[in-house]
Amino acid sequence: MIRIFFRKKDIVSITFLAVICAVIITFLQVGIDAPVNLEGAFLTARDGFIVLGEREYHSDAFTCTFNMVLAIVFISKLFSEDIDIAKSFVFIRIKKTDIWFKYKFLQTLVYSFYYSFIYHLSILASVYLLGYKTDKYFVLAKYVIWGMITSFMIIFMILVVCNILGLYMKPHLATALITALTVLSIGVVCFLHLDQVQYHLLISYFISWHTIASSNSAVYSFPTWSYYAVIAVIILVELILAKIFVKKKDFI
Amino acid sequence: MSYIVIENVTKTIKNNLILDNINLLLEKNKIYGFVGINGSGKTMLFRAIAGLIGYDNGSVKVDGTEIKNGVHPKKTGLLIENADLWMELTAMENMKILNRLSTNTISDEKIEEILTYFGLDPKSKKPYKAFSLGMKQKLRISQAFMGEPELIILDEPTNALDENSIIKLREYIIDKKKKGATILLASHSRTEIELLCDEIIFMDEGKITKLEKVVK
Repeated sequence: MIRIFFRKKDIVSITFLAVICAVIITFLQVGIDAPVNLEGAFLTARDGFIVLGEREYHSDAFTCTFNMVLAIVFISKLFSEDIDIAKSFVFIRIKKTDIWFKYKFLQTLVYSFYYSFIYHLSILASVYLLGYKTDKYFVLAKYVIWGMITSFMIIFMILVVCNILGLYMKPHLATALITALTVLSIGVVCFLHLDQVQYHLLISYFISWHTIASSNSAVYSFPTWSYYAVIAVIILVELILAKIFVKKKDFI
Repeated sequence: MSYIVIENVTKTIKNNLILDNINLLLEKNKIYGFVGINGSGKTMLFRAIAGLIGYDNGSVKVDGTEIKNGVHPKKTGLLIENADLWMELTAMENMKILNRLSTNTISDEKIEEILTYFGLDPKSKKPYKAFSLGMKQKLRISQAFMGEPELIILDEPTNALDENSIIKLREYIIDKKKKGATILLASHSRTEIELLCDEIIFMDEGKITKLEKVVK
């Protein structure tokens, strides 16, 4: 199974995509302002200067989620890949069809995390190469790890929806639809009031900027973990639904 | 007790009746031929027996196991029309991957034996995408026979094969029957079916219209 689901060409493509996105976004974001240290430069590169919920147009929101959209488009196509081979040659060899899909969702999970991992490390490497230094390694590590986890969770949450829809409609249409809705929902953030922003799910993508990096905790009424818990529950519900849909699906 | 028991199976797709109250009892170690025009329901019935689709009513049992969507019969070799394998891999690599996925794996030597029998070079570095139609079909047939399956489902296996390969395939099917396999074979060619099969099942518009024993 490993040979089918984790191919060299996909790993190379995802690495390349993550590095390119990270480098471009770092240069776009860090160039606007001059952060004082490495952790500041990292957050600036990753999140830009998003001040959420002030009824302003925040182009940063689009810049720093641009990579997420690309990752969704790229990783989601892997789910539908090989389905024709599977239904003609593989399903009959394995005990139950859903074993294939368990691996497919695992593939989505691994690649989502791998993308976030490479993307955040590439941002870190880029800002380091720009000459920023720090002596607060613990704080820096916290930002990097939180960033990896939050972006992984959001990407995975969206990809699972793409995967489920891809079972019932043309997979590239499912991805286009979900990607368009994602971009639209990010756009909506710009028009929300300060107290409403916290209820916008995709804000979790930026959550560490507000809750960890700054003292701007007034933006959020609930502890940081509760936002991640909501995303985790949504992912869990999505996976349960995916299991039900896979069982019902005819592979003709 | 029959090896395959199909009772009152009905399947509708988008309001089209694809399988219409199918009832069949198939014995072990026989070759059954399914004859019918395109769209008569042969492939869909094969998919139901293989557990690749669900059905609205009835039941399908293979060797006592209830087959439903996502639950497949054990030790089954399947050849479905117009399906492709991994394009960038060679014949041997494709076979090795499928072998590893199987519950009853065989040695690399056995795989080489099957490929060679059907006229494919196991050492060739040619990827599947560069294969001719005939070579692709030979590889699809080879995978269906891999791992000594007890049930072999072959949907139009002679498509794109030359006369010599068809004769070799016939011999292989007969040999598998001698070794105890049950074979379901769909073909447009009545001659093909009569040469190989013990019984012929005629299908039309999702129904079984006639059952005929072949006198040899």
